[in-house]
Amino acid sequence: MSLRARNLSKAFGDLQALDHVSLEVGEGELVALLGANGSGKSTFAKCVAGVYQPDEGSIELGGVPAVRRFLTPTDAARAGVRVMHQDNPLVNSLSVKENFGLSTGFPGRGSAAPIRWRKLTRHVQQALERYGVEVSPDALPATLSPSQRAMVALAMTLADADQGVELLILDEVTAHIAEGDAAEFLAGAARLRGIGIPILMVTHRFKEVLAFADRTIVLSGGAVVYSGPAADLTLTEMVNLMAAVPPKDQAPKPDRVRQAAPVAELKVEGGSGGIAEIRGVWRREDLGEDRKRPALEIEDLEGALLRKTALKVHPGEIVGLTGTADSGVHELPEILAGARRRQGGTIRVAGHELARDADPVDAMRMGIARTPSDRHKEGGVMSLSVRENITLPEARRFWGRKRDERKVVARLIEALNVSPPNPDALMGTLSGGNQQKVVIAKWLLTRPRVLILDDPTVGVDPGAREQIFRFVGEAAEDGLAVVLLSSEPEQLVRQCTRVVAIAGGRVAKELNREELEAPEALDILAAYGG
Amino acid sequence: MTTSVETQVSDAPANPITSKAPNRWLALLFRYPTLLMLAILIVGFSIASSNFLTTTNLTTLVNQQAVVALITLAALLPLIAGEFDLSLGYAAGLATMFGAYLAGQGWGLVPMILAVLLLGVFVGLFNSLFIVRFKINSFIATLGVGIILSGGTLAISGGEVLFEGLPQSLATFGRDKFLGIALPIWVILLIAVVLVYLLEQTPFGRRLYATGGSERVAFLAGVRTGRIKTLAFVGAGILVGFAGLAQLATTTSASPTFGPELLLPAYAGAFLGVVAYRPGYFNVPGSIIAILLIAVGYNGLSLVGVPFWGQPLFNGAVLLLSVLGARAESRRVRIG
Repeated sequence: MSLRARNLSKAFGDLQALDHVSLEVGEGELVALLGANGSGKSTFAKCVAGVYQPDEGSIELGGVPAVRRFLTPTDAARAGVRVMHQDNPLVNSLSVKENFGLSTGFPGRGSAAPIRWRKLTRHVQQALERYGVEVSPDALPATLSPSQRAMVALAMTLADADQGVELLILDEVTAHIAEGDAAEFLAGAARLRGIGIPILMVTHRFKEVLAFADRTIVLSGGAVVYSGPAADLTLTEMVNLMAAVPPKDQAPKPDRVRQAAPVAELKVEGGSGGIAEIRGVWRREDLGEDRKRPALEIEDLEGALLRKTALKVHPGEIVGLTGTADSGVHELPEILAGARRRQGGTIRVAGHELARDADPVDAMRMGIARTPSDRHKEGGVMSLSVRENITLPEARRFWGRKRDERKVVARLIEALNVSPPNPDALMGTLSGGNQQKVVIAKWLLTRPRVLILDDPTVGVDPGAREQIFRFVGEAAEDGLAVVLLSSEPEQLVRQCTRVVAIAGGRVAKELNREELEAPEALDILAAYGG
Repeated sequence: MTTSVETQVSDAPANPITSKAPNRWLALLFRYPTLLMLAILIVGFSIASSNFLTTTNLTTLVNQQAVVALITLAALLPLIAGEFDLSLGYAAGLATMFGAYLAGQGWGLVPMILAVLLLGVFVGLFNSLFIVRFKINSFIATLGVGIILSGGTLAISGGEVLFEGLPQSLATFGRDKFLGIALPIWVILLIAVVLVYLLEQTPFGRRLYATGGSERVAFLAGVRTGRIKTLAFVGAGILVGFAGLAQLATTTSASPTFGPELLLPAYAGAFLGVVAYRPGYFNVPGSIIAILLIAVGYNGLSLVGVPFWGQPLFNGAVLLLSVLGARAESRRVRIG
């Protein structure tokens, strides 16, 4: 039982997602695969799982002669690859054993024959015991803790592997689980090493790597930039490795640690005048006139998780916010945008108080703009055009002025480099990065004083990220106050003038620009962040 | 830089295909598949039956569509907002009966019209009370409201057809024609123009489509989605009021069984309308073409002697084929 992948390469168009990646996972070993978004870590996992077919290389599982590639996920499954994903596969209205039945088949003579319940219960009981899950086959998923649910899902993933599991891939399984539950689940999953199962854990949580992995492999730009014992890496080194540019024509060296490149040095493709050229479109006339007066003042804010949180953001600042899923930090953008009620505290925008029962209209009028982290559910109307999306909050302003509307939209599209530059393209046909640019364009058009970016780079390719941060930076210089919520320490260090870490609902740590320059900043942020 | 952008700025309709000049006509055809079908039917029926292409036949055909056209327009507003209104048929029945009842009580024409339209407003508010305020699925809420309304129809009619006391002027209005087209049809065209303006040119229309596209996104972008939905249902109620008046004007009577059977044809028209004019979106001109298409099919098929059961077959097939065709077409747009 083991995986040996040799020289896997995979390109999507011009993008070399994987570049000769070789990787081994031994029997009973837990290997963590780390990397920033777009580093190729999920492409690698998908190549091994048969979802993508690598252009080059070979995959060897459990000593069986190497294959060139798996054509389908079923082929990979037959060879013993099991993948657990982050989405919870359990149907809440069905018991644990019925969920097992759905995924691995109900024992009986056929689809129309009666289910042999006792046999099913026995099978499920055995599977749960084998993988160390202490849950009754009759329990309903809703009555289980998040970590128990994840363990049931894991047992389900492994249950149908009669010939043995050659490789278990945990594909960012803890992404939607709070830190404590995630640790509990991973401890259970890590015990599977005891029965010889090789585990490849794809993750972006450094703490999980340090706590559970035997070995760490870091990918950047589609290539392995580090491979070595997990204990040998500090948090800072991991973060730096993830941001590193892969060495060309050199064997990967474990000691190759690079400092994150500053924004200015990164070349951005295309790009016109940027945000400065369209000041008239997005900028309030009095924006940033008085840089001493805070654009946003929060005092004693109480939310479902937030406790007495205070925050001040001045015009021209980019203030980073970070915290785990259970820290309460994610409530902040929603409360500010009027999408969620607060329990107490005051919020002032340029000295004016935001009412406690404010709705999105009130928040918008005060000059608060927020780009949500879930673009699909909250960011854009996928069935409408880019133009209709951009001018949605300002529909009244362009009533009977379609020509003006088209002009303004065309200028925004050009300044933000939206591709394709077609205002009539349907939002749903755009890539993630371009959708994000459209969402930002929409909110810039409301002439905000405060722009809140809630995890703006989820599913956004590296090129678009740099563009987004470039024009956000320009807008800040022009007097906009920006709040950037992110769980990526390197992003916070690069973009922010100051970073506030929230833990247990309170401001736990604040790092100013000077402290952010220090090498241990990434460590600190990683410790507080997702 | 700016000039190159401005050349892109045109008032071309929101359809990527139409911007390619060589395919302009083909593209136009794709935008109006139902219009093409309509043309084919008209040519076909003209050849097959000498009675089809006569002024009398064509004007009768059009004049018969008043009520169903209004209910189709009524169905559109909630549909665009992402909701169903199943009470429309029952509400049309109640509006008709209410008008006849008031006339029987000696109400004059103008107060009667206002009262019927006001009834429509109330029906819309009643529907939105359950949908917007109590957040009940519109499918269920409007079904419940519709059934209640049908009880109201029975109550005020006593189960009988009402025809006494209807103002003569109403019947005259229903009968009189301008350019061979009945006056109610002209009123409907006027309503349609107003609706097209509302839906395509005003912030209300934008917000309505956005609410239907994603209520959450619209809400976060400052659209008061509850208010928008309420307006959609109230608009539907008013249009149903007009439908009741049109029914009274053309038949000069109110039957307690009238109404519910119009719901499905109206929805067929609204869904069929999606394939034309603004493909992929519920829209007024597309729906009107759809109603004409179904009406011409109905009329022509009976003229060429197709048995009575051929009608529903034709209507259902047209709906399914058009929507299938439109899906293939929209896929093409997306890829290209």
